[in-house]
Amino acid sequence: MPRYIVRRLLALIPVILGLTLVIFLLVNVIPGDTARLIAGEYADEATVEQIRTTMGLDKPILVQYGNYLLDLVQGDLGRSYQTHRPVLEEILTVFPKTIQLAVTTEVISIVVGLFLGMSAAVRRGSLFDRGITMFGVLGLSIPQFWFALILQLVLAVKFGWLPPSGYQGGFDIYIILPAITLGIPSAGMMARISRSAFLEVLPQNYIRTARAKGLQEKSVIWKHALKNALIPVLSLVGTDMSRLLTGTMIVESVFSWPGIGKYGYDALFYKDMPALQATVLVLAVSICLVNLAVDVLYAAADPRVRYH
Amino acid sequence: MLHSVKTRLFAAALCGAMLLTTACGGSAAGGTGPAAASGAGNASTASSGTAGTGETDGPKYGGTLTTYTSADPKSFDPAALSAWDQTIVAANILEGLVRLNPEGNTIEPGIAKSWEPSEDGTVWTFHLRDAKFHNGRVVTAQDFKYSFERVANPQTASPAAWMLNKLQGFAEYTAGSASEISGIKVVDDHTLELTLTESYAPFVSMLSSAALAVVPQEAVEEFGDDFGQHVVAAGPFTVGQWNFNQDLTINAFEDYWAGRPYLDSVKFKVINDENTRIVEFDAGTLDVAWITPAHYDRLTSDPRYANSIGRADTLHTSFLMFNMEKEPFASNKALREAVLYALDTQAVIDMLQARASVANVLLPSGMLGSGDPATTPPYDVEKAKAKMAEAGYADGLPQAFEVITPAWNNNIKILEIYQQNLKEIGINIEIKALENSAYNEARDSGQFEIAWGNIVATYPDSDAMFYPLLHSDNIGAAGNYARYSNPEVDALIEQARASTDDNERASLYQQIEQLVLEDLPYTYLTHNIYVDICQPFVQDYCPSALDVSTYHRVWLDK
Repeated sequence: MPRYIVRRLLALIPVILGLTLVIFLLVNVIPGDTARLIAGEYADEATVEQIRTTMGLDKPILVQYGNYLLDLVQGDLGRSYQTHRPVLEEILTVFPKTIQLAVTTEVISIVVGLFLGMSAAVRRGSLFDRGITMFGVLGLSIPQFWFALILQLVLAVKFGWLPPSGYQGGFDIYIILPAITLGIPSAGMMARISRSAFLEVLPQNYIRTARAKGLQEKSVIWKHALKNALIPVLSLVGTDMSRLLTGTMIVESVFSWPGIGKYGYDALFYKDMPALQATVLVLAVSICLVNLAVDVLYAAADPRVRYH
Repeated sequence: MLHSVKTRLFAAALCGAMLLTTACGGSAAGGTGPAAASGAGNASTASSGTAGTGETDGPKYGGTLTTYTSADPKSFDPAALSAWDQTIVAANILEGLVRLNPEGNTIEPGIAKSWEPSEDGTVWTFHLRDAKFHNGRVVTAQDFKYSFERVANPQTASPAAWMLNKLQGFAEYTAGSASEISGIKVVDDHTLELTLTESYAPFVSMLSSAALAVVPQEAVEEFGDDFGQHVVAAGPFTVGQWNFNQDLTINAFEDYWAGRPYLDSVKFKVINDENTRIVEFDAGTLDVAWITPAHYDRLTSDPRYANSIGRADTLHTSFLMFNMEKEPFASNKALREAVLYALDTQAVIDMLQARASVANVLLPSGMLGSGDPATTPPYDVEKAKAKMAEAGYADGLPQAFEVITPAWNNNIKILEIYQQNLKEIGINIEIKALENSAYNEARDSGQFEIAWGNIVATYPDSDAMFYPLLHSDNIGAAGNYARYSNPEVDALIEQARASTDDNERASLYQQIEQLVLEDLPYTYLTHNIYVDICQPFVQDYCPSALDVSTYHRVWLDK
């Protein structure tokens, strides 16, 4: 198992190298003149040129990329054009908050989704089962934006139970509304996937054998069916975590959650290239790591994976 | 959804670093105490209305006001200010030689209690008052020399460096051939003499920019790169608790030269989504908000807020511009006139819920040289059609034109109205909404025949409108987007900025307006009006003409 992990980690290096190139090039083709942006709308050409030279923006793009890469391997993600502070420092304050929200949401949706999916599979065809299926479809099709607003209007403005937006440190009442907003589609998807996974596992011979041995149904489901039904659920967790890490911009914006989505949006808006580059890079790398983690979990859940 | 945030941000980007204004309605500029605010706010009937009247015994000290920014301000280093989110807060922390008046359209004394220009308008002498930095040290003329040279230094890469380029010795200093700017002379601790290369009237207005605020050298050196997060300055508030991307609190500065502010503190929550701000306002967790179009009717008709709506005529003008180097518009004046008469701007203003006023000239009302505000646009379809015939296109223009605009929601709606108007006289336009930088690039490089554009005064002086937009030195990115060139206009603009006689300047500006209306490189559309709402207990809050509300005369009646 450790050898498997090391192998996978090494394979990440060329992937990340390729990512840096793509990101660097993409960020640099965004229209707009960075030096002009920093110099101010009405600055004269001489000032703009001066800034271009000082910041090395007049060098060929490959040289700029080389410098960027050189800094990168030393752990230097550059300095924000806006704050003149190391970008890494800023990312380290915003990214954990997105992770906080994503993990909370994911844990809740796994627990809720898996439980609902499992219960529905056991009661296949019942009213409950149909209810769960509907919940899954609904959860996926509700526009997040609208749902967030309704939650705010009802729970914060009308009843005053929860704060409408903001952040006070993480695991407190402020996380409830954004976590519900993000979690409903996740839980819905999770319920559907785990339901079908269980439906596939339940007619298997070993389940019949377990039942035939006289095991209690509870034990059959939890001990024998669950582990085998987990594989598709795990792969869903992987893609869902990636979605939660990168796709929270709207939710972060609506609930004023000070995470990386908001940070990246501002960086893009102000054409703060080091901040933008770093945001995209950190997100891309974290997606790689999430996928790696999922693969490792696969391997743990299904020993056959390790040998391929 | 985000259009108005963007409008504001864009405005701010243009605005550069702004400014120190005081609350509307208050009469005293200097002296002691935040002063004279009581009974001053006669609310929203005036063009620049103050929110909150309150039948009370007068201002009270204490309390925290909760307001917002749309992004983390990130830095209050005067040399690093560029975005709206920075300047709206910075205006409360930083202060320079002069500051804005309550309405935000002219200047008043700041740390300089008085100043006078020399006979030829090139030497300006400033007399400083006894003001203190947040660290307790007295502000001296030497501090201004340090602060100005710091902003001018290319190593600092300040977006406001150009504001100092009229100082004698600026070029030598920035080129590295001089170690100081020769035009900045410290006469004594309380006297500063600034020498300009030429007589230049708008210079004093520029000094009201927060980017040219005074900072103490010892603090800049102590904090180094982190100075922007630990800024020490001489404004009415000091930087307090700051949770990155979350919220920021500024606290009353006890030793502010005009007396401490009424409020103990102001908390700026970072709320990007403008709907969320209204939700927070309705939930009572936010005290001030810009009113979104969807909530405008509800909030403005709610009797609870009858005295809590503040309006500000901004130093802003929007226009359609013709590329004066591209046919068919460049050489066909009748065609440009046809466009002018075809536009039903009143319909646009109605669509904007009257949050804009008609712009028949460049200058918004209240600026030096502006006449009486216009009430009706020159809209006249018959006249427009006649002009089309005169232009040789009685049957309309054969080709369609792409009109570029930033992709703000309102802009598209506005241009859809004009699209219909122009279609009526036979001009077909396609609205091409672009992302900000792409729009700027196309606009600056003249890749358009007609385009939507706007200008926001960077400093409260009419020159900030005329010089960038109309002077042929600024063709392209520097502000003359229509690529308009008229030597007579150039000469008048130069004459107006060199004169220190306000009456003369005002009449020159009126002449320029007439000449430009003759040439018609731009058809002016509207001036923006900002409408903010406060909780009823907030007194003497006033949205500023430059969208940089300040809080040192605001107080809470609760």
